[in-house]
Amino acid sequence: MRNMLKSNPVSFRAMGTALCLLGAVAVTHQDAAAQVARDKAILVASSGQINTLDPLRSDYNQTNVPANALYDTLVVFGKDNNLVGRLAESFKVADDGKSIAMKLRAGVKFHDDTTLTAKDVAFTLDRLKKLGVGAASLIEGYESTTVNGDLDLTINLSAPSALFLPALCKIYIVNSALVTANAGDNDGQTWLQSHDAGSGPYTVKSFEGQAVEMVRFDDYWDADPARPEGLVLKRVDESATKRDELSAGNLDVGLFLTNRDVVALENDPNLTASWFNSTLQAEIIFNTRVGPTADPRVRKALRLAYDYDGGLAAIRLGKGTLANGALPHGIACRPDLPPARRNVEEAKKLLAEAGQTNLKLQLSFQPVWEQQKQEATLFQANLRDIGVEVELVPIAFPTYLASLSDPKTIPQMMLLEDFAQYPDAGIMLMKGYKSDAIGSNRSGYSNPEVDKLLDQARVTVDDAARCDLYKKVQEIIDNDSVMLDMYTLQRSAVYRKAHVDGVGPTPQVTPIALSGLRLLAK
Amino acid sequence: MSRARSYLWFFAKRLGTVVFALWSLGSLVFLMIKVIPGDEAQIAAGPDASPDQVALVRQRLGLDASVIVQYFRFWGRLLHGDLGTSITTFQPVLLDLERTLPSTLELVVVAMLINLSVSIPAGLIAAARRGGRTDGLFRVLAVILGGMPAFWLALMLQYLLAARYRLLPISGQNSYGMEPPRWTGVPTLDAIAAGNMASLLDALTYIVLPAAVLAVLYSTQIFRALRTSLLGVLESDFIMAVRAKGATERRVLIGHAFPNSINPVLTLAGTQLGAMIGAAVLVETVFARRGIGTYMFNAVAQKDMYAVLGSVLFIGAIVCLINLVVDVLQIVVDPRIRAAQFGRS
Repeated sequence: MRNMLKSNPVSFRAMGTALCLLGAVAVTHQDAAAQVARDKAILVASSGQINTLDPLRSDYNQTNVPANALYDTLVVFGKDNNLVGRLAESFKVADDGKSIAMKLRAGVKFHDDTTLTAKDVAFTLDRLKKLGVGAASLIEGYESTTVNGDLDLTINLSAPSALFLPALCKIYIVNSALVTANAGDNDGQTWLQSHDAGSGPYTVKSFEGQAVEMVRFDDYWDADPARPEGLVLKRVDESATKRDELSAGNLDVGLFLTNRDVVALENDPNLTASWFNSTLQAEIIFNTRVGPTADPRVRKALRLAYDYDGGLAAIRLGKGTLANGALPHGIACRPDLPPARRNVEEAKKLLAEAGQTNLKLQLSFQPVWEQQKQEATLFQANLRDIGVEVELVPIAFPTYLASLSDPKTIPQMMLLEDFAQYPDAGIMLMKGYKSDAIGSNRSGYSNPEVDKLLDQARVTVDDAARCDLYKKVQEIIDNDSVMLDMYTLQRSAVYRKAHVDGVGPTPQVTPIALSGLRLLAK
Repeated sequence: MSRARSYLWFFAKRLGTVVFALWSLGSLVFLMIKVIPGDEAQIAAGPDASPDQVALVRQRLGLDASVIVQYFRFWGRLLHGDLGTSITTFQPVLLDLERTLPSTLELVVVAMLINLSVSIPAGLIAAARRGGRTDGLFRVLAVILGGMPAFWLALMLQYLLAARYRLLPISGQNSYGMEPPRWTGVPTLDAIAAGNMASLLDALTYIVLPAAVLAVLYSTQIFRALRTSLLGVLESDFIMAVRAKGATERRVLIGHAFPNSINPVLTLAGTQLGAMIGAAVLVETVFARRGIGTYMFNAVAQKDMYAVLGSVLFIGAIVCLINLVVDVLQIVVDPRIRAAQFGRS
């Protein structure tokens, strides 16, 4: 062969040319084929590892976003934060608050063409109760489901709970037969990690951890031909990479870009940079049980020291609203509290009253979040103005979670961004401020009056009366300065304006709901 | 001792060292994970789980047993080929590794090819022109490139070559619709297996930039090691003898000096392969590639014990294997080492 090539350079060149042409033809052919499909697909880049597609972990945003496209829930929050039926055609809470009667929508198909029945709902809830992980924390108090017919069911609770029904907006209903057939030794967790058993508008084509590729399910009960035929959710952590891919037209939607990158892309004529109100709130949580921050006067003084306007303008580029209470803007049942303001003199006075001179405190923060790092530094500088020295302590989230099991180990101050799983004041208050909510009560806050009001709210079926109770609780919490509430933040999405429509969040899916994406008609 | 027995004894010793190294590595990582604050059960159950739910998960995962019991259970399972189940992906760790490792190995192998194909010619040229302008230029370049943070370099090259001038893809592993059917998990090999030339070319364009970024730091090390080694050999008596016989400078350099200078390069390249797998996480993050680096980073961040242990042991095993291959190569290439190990033939 070598000799042949040496002796006959023309043949060698001809062969090389033929190979190149073959390659070029193949490339052209493939590109053309890919291009057609590409026009009918939407590529979305998000951040963070998608550990699993199992809707059991819908409490985890990286799972909730694709699960929302693959599955359906019984109810959802509507535009005015009111609950409306989705798979449930109708629902009614019993007068004693201990059960919910439901009638399912008829003719809903799972992706394997089987029909949704009440048994699937019972199976989904029973599976959550049994496994006790992820979204199971949202349906505490679930006892059983009585199947009254193919489409009729009653959900039974161990005690009256006004929190249960709203939580169903995060519970994705699975195909019981399919999950049972693939149960393995862990109730289908292994299989559902990379497969779906849903009835949503899309079904899984492939899942590789870094990317999930979905195709449209044309027998979807709420089908819309404007939905893209293909949907890819891929992981691109670096904001700069997402920015460049969007500019190059390789991505259709980019999520979790830094505010600076989004602002930079606002000038790109091919892209739209949208800002959405969210329930994400930046806050500093005080340990209310141990150390100097156990004194409400100290906490009040610390709240008066932070430069809220400066932080919002300089660090968050003004993309948010100053907080006015423990719960973020956008949640119903919030009292009309004044936003916090900086007042150095008042802060110094309160510290003197508390007998705290030369106070030294620790602020824990997650250094992986650049903006939080800047806020920690700003807070440190602000506290120096009132004579308080702050040591900044980097902490990893798992370490922080572990510290919450005992008030003695809760960080003195913790800088955090927290968001509502769904826009219900009750779940946020019960999890965050009830004295027996160990693990999720991040300040160790304990106030018998608040406990009593929350217990009362849990069993109050009347929405308006329950709302009043929630407002009272928030007023008490604010007066006790349990947290330094900084600002409710906006979230963003950047997308190709000539290709994509329907980009926006829903109350239970942030920053955007994939099921809402549409292709723009050409 | 006969030569055959010497060889057997050599391999037995090496194998023993590998087993000991892996056991030490696994034990150390196990203890480190246990010492790091954080509760695996809490993470598996979710941030809002109640104490009862966390307790249930702790029992199910066997985390309620003492650390000693957990330690022996882990090694017991490992001996049966079970690396455990990830608490975050709910998959057997072996399956997770099978999905992520091939991609990293592809990146590292291509990076090593780039590394050697740049650093060896550069080292040869620099040594041949010692003290000259080219040598000076290469040495300055080596200092500059060797001092560049990989993360920064990755972002800069990505911006210039991919985003600004559109010469290469910005991120990912394949263009949309060009991914070959999965067989090995290595896009280039899978494309070859599928006989899809377009997919192969596509995958190659995606790997060039990340592999080049990964190669840069390491190629400066190989360049320096080879140049230094060559300069030493070129001063030796046997090279004078070769020159006296009338050999050309090219023959002296490539035919005589280079084979005698290769040992430090082999040792270094072997070490670099292991280090590259660890360093791949930065490149994988910037270029949004799947890989064991990203997998391990997530596992550590989420205290996913079995995922961390499995990844570390797998990488450890690869590094041990590479070291073994390097040892054997050195014996094959260098008669001085062969003589020291097994006596003169």
